[in-house]
Amino acid sequence: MSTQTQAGNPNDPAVRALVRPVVKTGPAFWGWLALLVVILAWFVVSWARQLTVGHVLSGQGTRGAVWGITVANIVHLIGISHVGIAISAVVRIMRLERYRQLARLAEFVTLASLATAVLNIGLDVGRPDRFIVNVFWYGRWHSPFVWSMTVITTYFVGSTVYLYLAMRRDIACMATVFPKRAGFYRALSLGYRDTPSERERNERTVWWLAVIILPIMVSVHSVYGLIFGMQAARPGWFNPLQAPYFVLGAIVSGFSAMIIVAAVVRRLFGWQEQLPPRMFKGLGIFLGFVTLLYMYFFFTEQLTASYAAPAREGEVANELLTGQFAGLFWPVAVIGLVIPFWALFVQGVNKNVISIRLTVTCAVLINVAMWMKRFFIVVPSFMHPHLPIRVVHYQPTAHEWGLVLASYAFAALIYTALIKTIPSLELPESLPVGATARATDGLWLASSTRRLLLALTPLVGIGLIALGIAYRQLVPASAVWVTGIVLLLTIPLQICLPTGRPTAKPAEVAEGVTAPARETA
Amino acid sequence: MLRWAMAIDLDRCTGCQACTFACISENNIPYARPDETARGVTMAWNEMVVYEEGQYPNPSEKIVPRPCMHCNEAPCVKVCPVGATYKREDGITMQDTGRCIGCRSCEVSCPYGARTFNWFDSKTRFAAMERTQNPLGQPLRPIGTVEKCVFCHQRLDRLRADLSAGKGPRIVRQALGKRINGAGVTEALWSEAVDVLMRYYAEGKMSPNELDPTVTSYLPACVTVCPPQARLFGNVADPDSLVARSARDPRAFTLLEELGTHPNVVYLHKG
Repeated sequence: MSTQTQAGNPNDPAVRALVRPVVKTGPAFWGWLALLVVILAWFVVSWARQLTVGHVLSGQGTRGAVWGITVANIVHLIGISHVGIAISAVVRIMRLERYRQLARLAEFVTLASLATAVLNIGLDVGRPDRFIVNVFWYGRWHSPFVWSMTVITTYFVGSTVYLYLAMRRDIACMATVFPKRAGFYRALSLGYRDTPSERERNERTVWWLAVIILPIMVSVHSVYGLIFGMQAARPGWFNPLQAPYFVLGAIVSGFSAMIIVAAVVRRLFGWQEQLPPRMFKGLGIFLGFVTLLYMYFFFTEQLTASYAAPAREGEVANELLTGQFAGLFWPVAVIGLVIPFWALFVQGVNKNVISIRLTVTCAVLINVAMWMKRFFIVVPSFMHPHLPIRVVHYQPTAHEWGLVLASYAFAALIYTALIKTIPSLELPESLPVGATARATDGLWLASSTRRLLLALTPLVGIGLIALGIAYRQLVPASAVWVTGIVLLLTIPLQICLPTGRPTAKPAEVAEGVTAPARETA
Repeated sequence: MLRWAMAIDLDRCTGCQACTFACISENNIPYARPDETARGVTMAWNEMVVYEEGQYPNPSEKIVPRPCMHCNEAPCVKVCPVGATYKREDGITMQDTGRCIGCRSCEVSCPYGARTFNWFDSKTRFAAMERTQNPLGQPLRPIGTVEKCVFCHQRLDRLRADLSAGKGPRIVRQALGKRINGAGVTEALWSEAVDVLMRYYAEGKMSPNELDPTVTSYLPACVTVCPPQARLFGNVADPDSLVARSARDPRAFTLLEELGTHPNVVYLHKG
């Protein structure tokens, strides 16, 4: 009981610990920010140079690797992006309380890596000035890239809405926890007043959103598999395994990245208690399991290709095992997959071994191995075209490496911004909302308006999607169906917006200050 | 029905590369520096693919000139996200470099390697090209877009336009006679006109050395320039055209038939 009343106090040390990165800004933060800005400034200059001089600055070529490490990096980042939804939706649906505090940190990873993946697409395409607008407007329904645009947009908007609704209460709480920015948090919480009915509605909407978003997550990674799997022209790619293979790869790289990020923020912000070693062990067990599964897929793929496949398939497969990529492949397979799996397995089956250091080391090895695996997916296929065209070996240039690596500064910047503005850990439910808020703040909808909106939005949204599909041959079809999807994704927001003009003194909010909300709810 | 196609007789081809160079100058294709070519940065719409066969001491080479195949089931058209690559009514696979985003998925999807990315800025880099480029050919393409062989559609279109304006090659106007009038040139007439030119050329009535511009500037550059006259061009949907006759030849085959692309470039080889 005493802990509950303490936790209800915004000045309690336990609460301060949760919001430490938001409320405390030291010289280390400014130093870090300056570093990121410097790297990104270099990045912009380097990119501008590529735009004027051309992609000749990279090691790619028509008679070599048409796609290179930038594409490998895009696949890797898209893969990592899966983790936010996977963790937070699964935690919510299966009620895994031990991993609850990880959910939002993982959501941030999704947003940061997805945005950086799009940035990397911008690096890879020849005309970044056109690519977003043209794919949106002129999108052709039969192109895997357009499917990718559709699902990435859905995923990005959907997970932003999900993240927002899941943390809306905490944002409202921040107005009392961090009064200096109370106005910002009040505006951001869109009039959230934490009445029991509002809280329940919010919770239920988020639960359903989690159920809906999980299959979208699967679709994003499947589509990336299909971008490769549908290319009959490239030996090594045309493969029905690609879509599930990519989903599995996404899970492996996503969880390994999440372990690394969690360990870093745990150390930086002193969240030893909130992110306990047992949590890392649990993540490690799961990571070991999916790594084993991935190796199994890998083995199946290699075996099929080298057994009795068309000649070129076998050549590409052997290029990895014994050819020009063997020197990279074997260290990756052994040090990056087999050994970490074994270490995580030992830790998993042994009750006495709980080591964050071990788990993080394995996660780093696996993550790097997964990056290399993407390289092995993309590049070797270009070395053995079906026609006997002479191709040269792909050697990524320093310019290319620089851009790819510096793009991670962009991810770090987004992650820093999110961690700096939004409470990354869930605040205790007993914390009151809006003690200092003016009750008349915020957006609201009249009940009748909301009923009308909720009736119209699905109609218009589904109508637009149907229209886009029916007239897929005409030009702005992709824009029409994407607009329809985005419109549908605003439904959760409409459901959760408060109804009725806020009264000057809502009784429930006033009560919330004294009585712990958990009891009223 | 109109479907432009090409037949390349490998038993005639000497691998002299005249077609490659004619293509470069007709279509203003920028050339890469040697150090770039060494890294695989090449730009060519037509090039020679060399099949190496046999082991020492009996090696042999088969040289196959490879333009774009203008496939009926073009994989590049399927994967293009923005419709920058599309099939024209007459079967030519076109590239709209004004819309292309340079994602290179078409280049990746083409099993023939017939597409090339603008790895550098041809406009600023080859300042000389601004002055020396062929004004009647393809205009220079912007940096960061993909380009490809377009069967010299500019020449074919010019033939149609000239004929309907009462101009154009004398031999064609003689052969078609009164059927050309101010009402414009139908597809059937257009295809017949190309076939008249092709026959005149292929039946040896004109040596390529004569360079009669009224004939040579209306057929694809690689066809008109070929010294052994290994290339034939025409409407494969017209069963009487030279190209359709070649396509029925027992020596005829297409490249990578097993991929189901249905190319419109047919090769002839006695095997």
